[in-house]
Amino acid sequence: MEVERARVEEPPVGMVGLLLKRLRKPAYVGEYMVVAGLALLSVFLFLALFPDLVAPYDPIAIGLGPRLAPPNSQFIMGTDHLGRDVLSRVIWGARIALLVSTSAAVLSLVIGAPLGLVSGFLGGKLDRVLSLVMDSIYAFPSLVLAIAIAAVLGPGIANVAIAISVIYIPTYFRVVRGEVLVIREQLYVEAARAIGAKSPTIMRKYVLPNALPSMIVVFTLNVADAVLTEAGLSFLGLGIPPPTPDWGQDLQRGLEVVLSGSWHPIFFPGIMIVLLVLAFCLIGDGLGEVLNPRLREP
Amino acid sequence: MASLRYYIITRLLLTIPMVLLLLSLIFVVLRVMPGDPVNAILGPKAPEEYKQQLRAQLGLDKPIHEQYIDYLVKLAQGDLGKSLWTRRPIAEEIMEYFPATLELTLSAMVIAVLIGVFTGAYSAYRRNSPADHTLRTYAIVVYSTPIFWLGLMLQLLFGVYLKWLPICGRADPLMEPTRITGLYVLDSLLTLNFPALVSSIRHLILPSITLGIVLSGIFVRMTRANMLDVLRQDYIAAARARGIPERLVVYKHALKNSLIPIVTMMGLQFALLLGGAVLTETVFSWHGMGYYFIMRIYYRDFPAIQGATVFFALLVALVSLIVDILYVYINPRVRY
Amino acid sequence: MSEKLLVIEDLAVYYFTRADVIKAVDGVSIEMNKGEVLGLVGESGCGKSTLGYAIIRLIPSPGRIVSGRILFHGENLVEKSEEEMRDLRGRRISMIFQDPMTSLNPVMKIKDHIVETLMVHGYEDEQKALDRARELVEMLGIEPSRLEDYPHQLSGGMRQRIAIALAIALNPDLVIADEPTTALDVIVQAQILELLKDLRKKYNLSFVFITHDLGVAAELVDNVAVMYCGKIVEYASTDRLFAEPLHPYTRGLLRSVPNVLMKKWDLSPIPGTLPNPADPPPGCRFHPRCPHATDRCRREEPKLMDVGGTKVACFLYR
Repeated sequence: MEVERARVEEPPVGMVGLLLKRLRKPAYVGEYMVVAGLALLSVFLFLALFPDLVAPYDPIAIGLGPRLAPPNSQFIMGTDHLGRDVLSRVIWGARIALLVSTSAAVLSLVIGAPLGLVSGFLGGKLDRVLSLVMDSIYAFPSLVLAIAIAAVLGPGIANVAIAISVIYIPTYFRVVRGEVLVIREQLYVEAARAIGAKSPTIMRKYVLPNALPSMIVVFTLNVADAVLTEAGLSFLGLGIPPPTPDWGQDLQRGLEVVLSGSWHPIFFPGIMIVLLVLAFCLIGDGLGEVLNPRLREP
Repeated sequence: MASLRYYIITRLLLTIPMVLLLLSLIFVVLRVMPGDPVNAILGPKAPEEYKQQLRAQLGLDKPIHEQYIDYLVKLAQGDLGKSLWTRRPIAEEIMEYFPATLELTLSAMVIAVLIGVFTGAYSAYRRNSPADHTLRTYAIVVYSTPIFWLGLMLQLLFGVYLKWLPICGRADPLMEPTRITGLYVLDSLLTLNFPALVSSIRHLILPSITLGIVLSGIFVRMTRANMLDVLRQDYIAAARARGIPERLVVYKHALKNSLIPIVTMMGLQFALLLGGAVLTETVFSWHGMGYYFIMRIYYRDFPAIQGATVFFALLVALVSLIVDILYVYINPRVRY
Repeated sequence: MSEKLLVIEDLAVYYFTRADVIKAVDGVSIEMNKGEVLGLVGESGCGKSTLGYAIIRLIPSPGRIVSGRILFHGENLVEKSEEEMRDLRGRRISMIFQDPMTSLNPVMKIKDHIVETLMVHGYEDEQKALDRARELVEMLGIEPSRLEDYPHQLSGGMRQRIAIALAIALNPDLVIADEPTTALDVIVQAQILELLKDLRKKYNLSFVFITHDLGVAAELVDNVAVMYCGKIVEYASTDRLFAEPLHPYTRGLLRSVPNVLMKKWDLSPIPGTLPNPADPPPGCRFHPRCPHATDRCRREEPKLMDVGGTKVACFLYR
């Protein structure tokens, strides 16, 4: 009995603290990846929080310089087809990208995870129906789905975030539900039941801490994917409407600019997307490796 | 093999609820779409009686559940309705646009698999070498690259600066081959039309490389992970202990085993491939299903959007079925 | 004794992990004549398998041969190039693995395993290789029609026969058998042992037979080297070892195995567990578990000494 009590009182938590401790002295490739990703991300966070400190010009001011001026001492990244400063737009773009992608991922987490919990715990018909719905959404090409929803909702920051969030809901649903099914069978939940713990307590104290590591990884990778999806939607003209500075939208203009041979209004927004997505991918993949020793690379 | 047939039928039946569900979802979602399609066609200032007439003609005056049942009944007969924009049957339009997407996705898949599988296997075999680190970096960077941006950059480099390759369309004007399958490369070959062959291959290169490169990152990662797993197995050590040359150990014994999960993966990536195709087709004005889908969204041609969506759902279901059958075929351990 | 088949001199194999250096084999010397079956006996983790893999130079990463020589027909295998080793493997030295469930490639037919091995080592005609494959499996008591099967279609015993066929296909001088019967059930185990005995008689095969089971060793083995924590603690002919085990560890091993050779049914496990090979105890590595340990055992490491024909590393016999 002593042993079981101990198990009940100490479900495997403290993962995050342990992780932070490890990251101070990276030893595996995965840990280096997390550190590099966090460093890269913090640059973007800074840009997103204080764009006015860094950006030399107003990002939406038209005719600051000549149209499509190549990079020069006045406009480090040149100007776009409306004579706006590319550097300033690229810096302000970080704000939209981070805002939309993280809120989309949070939204899907907030919807998907509880659904997975309930579905996994209760089982039965509800579980079967929900699983079928989620599997259907999951199997469908996510970008096509996001396009359809974004088209219905119309352009705008909140609408894009909602459109993107729909495609990740099944991911959280599956992760959490899978975890619930495993944990439900495990001893310490049995023991928790035996000492009279109620279902919500069990979910809060045992299921969530266990699902947490994989959810952190999934969340980070979803944000990475959301940045790409947001850019894609804006590129198709279904995302953030002008003149709000947005990388994908700037690239949409690129389609027209290509033939003129101006590389700078295309290159810089794109490279920002690559770097931001890379930051989240590094963190996500690295964490996956750190949290799952089987994947660890010496 | 009767049991294999049974398996396929079961599998097909299982895809029906999925397709039905997606179809209903799209149907409802499109009905709440803001913007009246009738307005979009006739213009908001058209006289009300014309609008009513068109609404009745399109069945839009009926209650939504009747529209839904009508739609299902017609769908079962292979009728996807008529486009609001072109007034042509949507099924016919899809058949016209789909071969372009098929051509693009197939060649992109070939490129992705060729790059991904071989470099992934090599990466695993030379684990932790500089080559491995380079390839892992390649995989993650490529995965982080927006496909439309890569397309634009390739257009700039090879189309605008170097002028080596065309950057839009599927063939030079008046160079299209006689349509047989709709796959230009194949049609040119079938009709022995070499100018058309050259033209269509030149047009295919940039879009398929764009899509193929972005997809290859995933293949590098997955192949590497599978290979690492396989290379740890006893039978690999056993093969080495029999003096089998390392080249054969890696590319025959190990790769053959890693390919089994990779086939499954190809199926899973197909949805991603379709999404990528939408963007690639937009960048390169490649008149395939993605281009069709996006254009009809701009025109608010919702029977066409719906038809395209249903078609995508069916396609995904079909591909996953094919992959499952292929899996049974290539894995000697599974027999139905 | 002009030329020995295999002479291992002071061999050391270490695994270099990020945190530790694990001395899996630490100064081992062995001699084998042609036609001899040498048993390497010890608990799992004692380094016996690593020693086996070292002979065929297939130590898994991050392991490395740190020092010592492995003379095979007088040639030092440690100095051979990878390509020279590859040529030897399967042809002159071969290996049988523990688990026949995992040691055959699941996507290759049985015949492809055998034919490939033969072709790699000089068979030029595929038909001839196939004929040889047929002959081999028949000799090992398997229907030639099973050559068309995939590994998963065969039973464990049959698969191990195939693994043996692969090992002896090219009449090697030395076969390293790494616990070849451990994963099998008892009846099949006995059959495989019988088969190995037969083959040995027929072809004058030499084996390095790695096992944790002294009972199995007794059936087949001429000489036994008992390993403990990377070192050989006792090395003697099988008869002598069973008649008069000298090292306290060997005695413990014999007591812990129900064995018909023992006069009394006196089953008692050795107290304690294997020490951490990354950080072995000083002095004699067995002293923390040894009932006879003295201060000297804690300080000084005993060397292998000849005591009436048995080599033993223990201060009890000094």
